Amino acid sequence: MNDQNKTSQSPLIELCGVTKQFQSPAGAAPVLRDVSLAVDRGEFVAVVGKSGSGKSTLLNMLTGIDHPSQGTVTVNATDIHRLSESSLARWRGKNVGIVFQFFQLIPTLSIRENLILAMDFVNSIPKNERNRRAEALLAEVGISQHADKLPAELSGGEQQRAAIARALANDPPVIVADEPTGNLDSKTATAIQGLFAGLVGKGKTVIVVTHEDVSDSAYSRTISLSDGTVVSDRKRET
Amino acid sequence: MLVIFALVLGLWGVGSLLVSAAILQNDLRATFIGTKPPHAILTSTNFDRVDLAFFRNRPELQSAEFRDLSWQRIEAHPDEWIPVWLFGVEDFNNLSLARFHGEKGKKVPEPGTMLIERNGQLISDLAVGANARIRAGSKVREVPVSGVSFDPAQAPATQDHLIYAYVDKQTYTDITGEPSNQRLLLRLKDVKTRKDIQTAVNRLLADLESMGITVASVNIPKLDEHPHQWQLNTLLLLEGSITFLAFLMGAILVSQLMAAILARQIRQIGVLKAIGASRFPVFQIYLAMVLIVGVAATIIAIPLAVSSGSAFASFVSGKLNFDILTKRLPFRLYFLLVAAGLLMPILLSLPALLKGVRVSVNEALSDFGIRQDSPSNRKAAAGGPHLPAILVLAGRNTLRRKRRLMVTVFTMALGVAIFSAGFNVRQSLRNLLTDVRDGMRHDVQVVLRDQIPKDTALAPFRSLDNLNRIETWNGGKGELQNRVVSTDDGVGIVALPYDTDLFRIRVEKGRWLQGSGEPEVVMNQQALEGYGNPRVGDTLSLKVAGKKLAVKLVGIVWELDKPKIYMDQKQFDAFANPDHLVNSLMFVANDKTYDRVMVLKREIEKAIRPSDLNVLYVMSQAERVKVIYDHLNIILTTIISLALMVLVVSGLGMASATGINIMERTREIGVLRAIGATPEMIYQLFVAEGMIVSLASVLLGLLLSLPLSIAASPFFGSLMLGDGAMLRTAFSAHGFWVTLVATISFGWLASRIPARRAIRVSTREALAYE
Repeated sequence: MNDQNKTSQSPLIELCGVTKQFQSPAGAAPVLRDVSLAVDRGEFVAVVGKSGSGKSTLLNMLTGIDHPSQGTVTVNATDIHRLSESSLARWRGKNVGIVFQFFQLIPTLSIRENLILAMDFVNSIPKNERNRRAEALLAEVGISQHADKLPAELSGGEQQRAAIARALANDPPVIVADEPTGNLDSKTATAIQGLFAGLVGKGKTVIVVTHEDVSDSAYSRTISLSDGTVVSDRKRET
Repeated sequence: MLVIFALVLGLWGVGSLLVSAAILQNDLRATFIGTKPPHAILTSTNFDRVDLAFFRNRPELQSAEFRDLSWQRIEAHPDEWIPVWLFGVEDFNNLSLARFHGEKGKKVPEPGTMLIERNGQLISDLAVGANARIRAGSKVREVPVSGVSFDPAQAPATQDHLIYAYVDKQTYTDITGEPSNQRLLLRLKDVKTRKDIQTAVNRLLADLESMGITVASVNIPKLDEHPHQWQLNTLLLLEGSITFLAFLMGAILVSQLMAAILARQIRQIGVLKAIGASRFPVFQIYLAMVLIVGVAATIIAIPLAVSSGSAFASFVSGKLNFDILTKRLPFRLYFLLVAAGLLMPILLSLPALLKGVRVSVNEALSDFGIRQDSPSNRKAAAGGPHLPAILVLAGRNTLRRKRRLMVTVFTMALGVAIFSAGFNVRQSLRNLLTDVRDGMRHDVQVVLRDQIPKDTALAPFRSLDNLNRIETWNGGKGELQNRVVSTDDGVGIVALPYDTDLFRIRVEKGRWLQGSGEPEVVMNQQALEGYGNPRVGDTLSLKVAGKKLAVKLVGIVWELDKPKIYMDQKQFDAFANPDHLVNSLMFVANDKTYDRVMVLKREIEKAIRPSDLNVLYVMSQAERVKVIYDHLNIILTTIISLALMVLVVSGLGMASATGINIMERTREIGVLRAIGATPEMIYQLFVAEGMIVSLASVLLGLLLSLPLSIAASPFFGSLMLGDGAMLRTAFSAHGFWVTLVATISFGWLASRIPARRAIRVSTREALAYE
């Protein structure tokens, strides 16, 4: 079996026996306990659980923002737990788009520049195409008219759309969002959900961490965490 | 830790300067006053007609003492002769005026031996037990050194390049061939001004005249002021200015840090308020925090300040040859330092404290994520060609905190301006030295004590190697006003060929001598000051050797020298020197390299030894320039050291501002890394920001340094060299490059250190930062 076949047949994301514990004055505090799971291409995954259940830590494992204390994390055929900080940053920029709860756009840059900055960091899109790509992505999320505004001039929903466009800047196969609608009204939240669903339709794998009720949403899979372990992993019947 | 460090640094700098200033200001004056310096010095050949009791019994006099003084030459090193001021002391056991005290060996020299002043040991081989060779007239006499004394009233021998020696009256006469008791020191009671002294001395002169005693000269030194007080005044002024600046910069530094630290506490303030704390308890909590920081910094900084301030005072006292008398610093100084240490952080953090406690619970608890800039702050660039976003980001981040940026750039620019101006002032002084060197184009000068025929003067030097020619000049002491009382010992007249090529000093006003028509003179700046600032075109009355002549002042030159009047040699000879005698020989070498000129000088000394020439001094141009340079060197060194300190303090200010910027943007760093920025890119981003600030500071600083240098050069000229001294503003190219490189390096370091720290934080920690 050649590598190409291996890549196409293996899960896009695979966690094997991942344990994460933090040292505190009270001793070692385990946040994830022996978590193993696999996510395939094109899945739209909701990670749910109460506060402190380990959702955000799991997301940090997937994005390489944090390293596991034990176990392995493989994303898009790369063992990311083995990468250095510099390699991880480059890998992340190319392979994972991250959307934060509080948008986290760079306030001194225009929306267009926020997108171009992400492309500049990774350098996988040719320089002369970056501006055009930024405009296309902003049109895709419906805020092309705000391209040259500062983030502070946009509403929360518009900023989150901009953040999603930035996450797509380098065309990564995986989009990870941490409570992306937690700071938005229900109407805007529904629109953002729609955007994510659209991305899945275009072949992206989207993983959303949320504490909201996901029963009526478009997620194809829901992983529930409690006390650092996966307590349920349900796939929606299609 | 950073705020304690900044406070310690500010307090340490300010404290050191205050401590050293307190010690120096007190001790030079205290040491000098302790010698009981004379208020007036009279010379006469008729003092033998009265005894000291006559003076001591006068009600206006506190004390009187004979202290003869003769200028001779002494062999400092083999074949190297320098001036010696030989004092004939009346009673070593009972010095009532101009006191000095023994430090090594005999305190009272045995007949035929002498004491030397301690500072002279640094420029000669002379020590207790050595046989000093003193040349008086044509005779060389060996005088054993029996002791070393400390005479705080004298200018440092190291700067004036001469030796002070003390002998008893008989030995004085034996060495010099001059009678004793011809120079009288007087100290008056209850005098407050120079005018009081002049009035009292005038009365005394009238009485002496009625007794048939002719006073040849009266010298009234500056009232109770050390001869090199000007150096200390300059240093203290420099210290004062730098203290103020260091305080200002320290204050800005602390203020920025306190504001940043309190900004980090906003969420905690929200929590405290949410659980029921009102403004006052919250204010108390943070006030106590600031106070603890102040106490910690004060405890660390005060011993450091006392130690380094005392060390600096000790360095200066060594240079100026006086002892540190202060054993315990005044209580008020400690009080001031403690007050500054405690109050400075409180006052500086008060605006931030008040703003912090006023914030609403909702605002405080909602303080999440990347702070959004107000849209009114900047209009985003629309469309068009784009710079790389990382460069745009660096540029915009620099402008993000405009007030902080302005404060940082301004303080750094001030540091740059002072540093650069320090170099420019130094260059002005160097240019002055070059002017001095270039103005006098001879290589070695031999000045004779007496006027003698030209052939006799030249005879010993007929067969010197490396000698191009010898030009002979003449001169003497003259008086410009017909008063016996003057502020100096009279003015030196230099009679030289008006068209000589050995004297090409720049004429500041009027013109140089033309040697024709009515008698004319050119004065130097020092003479001008001493004689009522006459103007070019004025006719003055010149008295030389009892003869008077009306001379026209045609020009003014500026030089670092004693008061002098220049006159055409032919006019001078016609007026006061019918026998065409000479007293100054100007040697011009073929090979003007330093070593060859020094060889020529030694050859001249060898030629003088067997001759009958009564030599006052032999000095090369290089040595003359060195004497002047040594007077200014301490100031030059201090200017650059203190200017460097300002630059370092402002560099630290920039480092702290960068540190605060980075600290505030920790979460943003996390976001940047989350979207693909490597640690190296983050590092480059912050270094680029630091460099933008550095470049802005250095540009502004260099611009500011121009007016500062224009103001500083004449100011320091007046302070160091006398009123009206024309120290021209100069531009130091060397200083420019040093400033540029130092500032850019500081900027690089100031951003590198916090940037390195920033990239050590993991992406997770950065994203979790609140």
